[in-house]
Amino acid sequence: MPYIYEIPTNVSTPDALIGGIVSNMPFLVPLTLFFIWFFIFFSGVNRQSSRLGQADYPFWALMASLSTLIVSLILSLTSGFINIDWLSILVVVNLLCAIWLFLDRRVTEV
Amino acid sequence: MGQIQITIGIVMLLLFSVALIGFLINFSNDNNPAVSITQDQEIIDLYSKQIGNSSELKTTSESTYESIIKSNIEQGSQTVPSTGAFSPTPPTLFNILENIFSTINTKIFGGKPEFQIFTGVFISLIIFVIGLYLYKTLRGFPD
Repeated sequence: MPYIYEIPTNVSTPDALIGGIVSNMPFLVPLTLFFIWFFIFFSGVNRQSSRLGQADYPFWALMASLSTLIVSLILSLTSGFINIDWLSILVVVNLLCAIWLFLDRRVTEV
Repeated sequence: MGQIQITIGIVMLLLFSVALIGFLINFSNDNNPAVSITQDQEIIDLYSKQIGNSSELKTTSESTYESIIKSNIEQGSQTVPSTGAFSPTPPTLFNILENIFSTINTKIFGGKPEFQIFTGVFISLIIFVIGLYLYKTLRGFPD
């Protein structure tokens, strides 16, 4: 029985389907990582500030960076999803957020 | 931000950077991914530099601790007599921040000299804060 629509040629595995989308639109993976970072950051800051009245911005920035790094590590297992530049930039963003966290603690004099 | 606090902050940053990059290297060794952090030479250089700084910090802090427990404070003196207690902070710990900021400058700003003003101003601020607390500790000047 013939198909009534044209079957895409690169759907041998689900990875190949996503890889085909990424090869057509290379900025898809960085945009997804941006979305994950800001989703975790703003949701954490929003809930903490609504519960406590104030939010720990450096902590949530580091949490969002670490979560994004874990997602990017999963993406790095298959070729074609993420390149080494974005992985290095994520490491650098983690270090930047760590600088913000470790140097921005309470103002009590030690 | 006190002097002990900023020292602890920079040391925690050192441990965090070594742990993070070490985790990524071991992840790539275990799972054989298509994209590995070991392909980036600058991150690997940062890792080796941070490990060198941590071993240097160990020897420096040992000698400084020895100088602290062998020092004595005169009766009735109000201030610290020497800057020996601060000796582990400037050379070793600032190398840690300098390595991280040079990697940030290369990776995010592309090493362009137009963007070096950001990291330069931030490093200057930290140096200024530490200088203020050195002065405050030696002279007892309130902030």
